[in-house]
Amino acid sequence: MNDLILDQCLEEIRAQRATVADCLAKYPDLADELKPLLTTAAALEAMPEMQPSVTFKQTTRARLLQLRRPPSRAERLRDHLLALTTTRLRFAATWLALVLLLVGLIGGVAYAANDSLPDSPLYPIKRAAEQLELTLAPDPTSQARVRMNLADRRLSEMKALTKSGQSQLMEQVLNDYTRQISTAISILPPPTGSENPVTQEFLGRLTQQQQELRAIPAPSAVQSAVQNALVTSQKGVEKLLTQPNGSPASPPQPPVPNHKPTSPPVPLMSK
Amino acid sequence: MSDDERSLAERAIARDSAAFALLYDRYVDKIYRYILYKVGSSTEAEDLTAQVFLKAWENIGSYHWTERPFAAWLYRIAHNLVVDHFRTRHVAAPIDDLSLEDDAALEDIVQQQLTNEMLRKTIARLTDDQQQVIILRFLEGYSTPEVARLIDKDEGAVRALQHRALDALQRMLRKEAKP
Repeated sequence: MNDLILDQCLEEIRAQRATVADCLAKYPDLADELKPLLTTAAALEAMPEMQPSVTFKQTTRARLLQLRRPPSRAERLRDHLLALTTTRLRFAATWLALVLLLVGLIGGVAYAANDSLPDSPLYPIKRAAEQLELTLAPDPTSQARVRMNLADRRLSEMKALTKSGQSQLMEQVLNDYTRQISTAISILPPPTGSENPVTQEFLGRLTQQQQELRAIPAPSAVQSAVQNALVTSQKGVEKLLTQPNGSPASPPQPPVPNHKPTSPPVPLMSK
Repeated sequence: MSDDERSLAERAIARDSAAFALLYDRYVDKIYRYILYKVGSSTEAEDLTAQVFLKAWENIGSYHWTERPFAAWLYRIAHNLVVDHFRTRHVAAPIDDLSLEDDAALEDIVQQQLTNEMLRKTIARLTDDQQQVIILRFLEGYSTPEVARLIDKDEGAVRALQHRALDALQRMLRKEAKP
C-alpha cells in the first residue's frame, strides 16, 4: 500500500473531513489493509493526554528561574583559558620558588664551605664544588688554571692549619697542593716559548706559590711534604721554560698581570 | 518556528531566563509525554524532563534557531537522555518485528483494553525511529511535515516509518489481547 494514501487518510480523519469508513470506501481495494492501521491510529489519538504533575512543573520552572545565567561560549572559553593559565602559573611559581630555595640553600652552604678547613664538616662540600668547577672548565688551559686556583686554596689552608699545628692535616693539604700543580702543568698545552702569555702566567703563579710556601712556618713533621711540593713546583717551572725545540728559555719577563711574580724563581732548597 | 517562538528563543540565547521559562511552559508537557511513552514510569519521566530543560538552559548558547525548530532541539536532548537512561539501566532494545497468527477483533481490543500501560508497552517494543514517529504524530499531534522537521528526516521517510509503525503496533496489540 502506498504510504502517501495512508497519510492522506490519517490527515483527513484528524481534520474531521472524513471518517475511517469514508477512507475505506474511497480505497476499496486497500480497505483490508487500511482498516487496522486507521483503527490503531484513531485509538492512539483518542488516548487521554498524559501530563506531568502540577507540582513537578512548578518546581522545575522555579529551579530554571533561580539558575544562574549560563556563561556564553566566549565566557566559557575565557574562563577555561584563565583557569588553565592560573593553574600553570601557580605550578610554575611553586616550582620556581622551590628551585630558588634549593639554589639559595646550596649557594649558602657552598659559600659557608668556601673558607672551611679539612677538619670542618663543610670541607667535603668545598671539595665537591671544586670538582664541579674542574668539570665545567671547557679546555685544558682553563682546567690547568682552575687547578692552579685550587693549589692557591691549599696554600691558604696550609697557612691556617699552621696556627693550630695539625701536622697530619697539613701534610694532606700539601700533598693535594703538589697533585694540583703537577696535574696543571701536565695538562697545559705545549708552550710556544717563554714569551707566550699563558706560559708567563703559570710561571708567575708557580714562583709566587714557591715564595709563599717557603714563608710558611711549617713544623718539622711536614718538611718532607713541603720539599716535595717545592721540587714539583720547580719541575713545573723548568718544563714551562723549555722551548718546544727542547732548548731552555729565558725566565719570565716582564711580570704577568694579576699574577706578577715578586721575584725570579727561587733555587730548589736542599734537603 | 513562529515569530513569537523565534523571539523567545533569541531572548533565551541572550540569557533571558524569563523567556526560557516561557519556552518551558510551551514544551514541558510534550517533552514529558515523549519521554513517558519511552520510559514508562511517570517519576522517571519527570526526572528526565527536568534534566532536558536544565541541559537546554545550560547549553542554550549552542542553539541556533536558523538551523532547526526549538522543539526539535529539545526532542533531540530528550532522545539522547532517554538513550543514556536505558544504557545505564541495561534495558534490552525494543523488538522490531512480530509474527502474529491470531486474528482477534482489533476494534474490540482498542475499544475495551487499550490502557495507557498497554499502549506504552507496545510502543516501547517498536524501533527507536518508529517510536519517535508514533509519539510525535499521534500522541503529540504533529503533522507529517512537522514530524519530518522535528526528527530531521524527509516526509517520505516519515510516512514510511508511520506505516510500518502502525502495522507493527496493530499486530502487537492483537497478540497482547490473545487469551
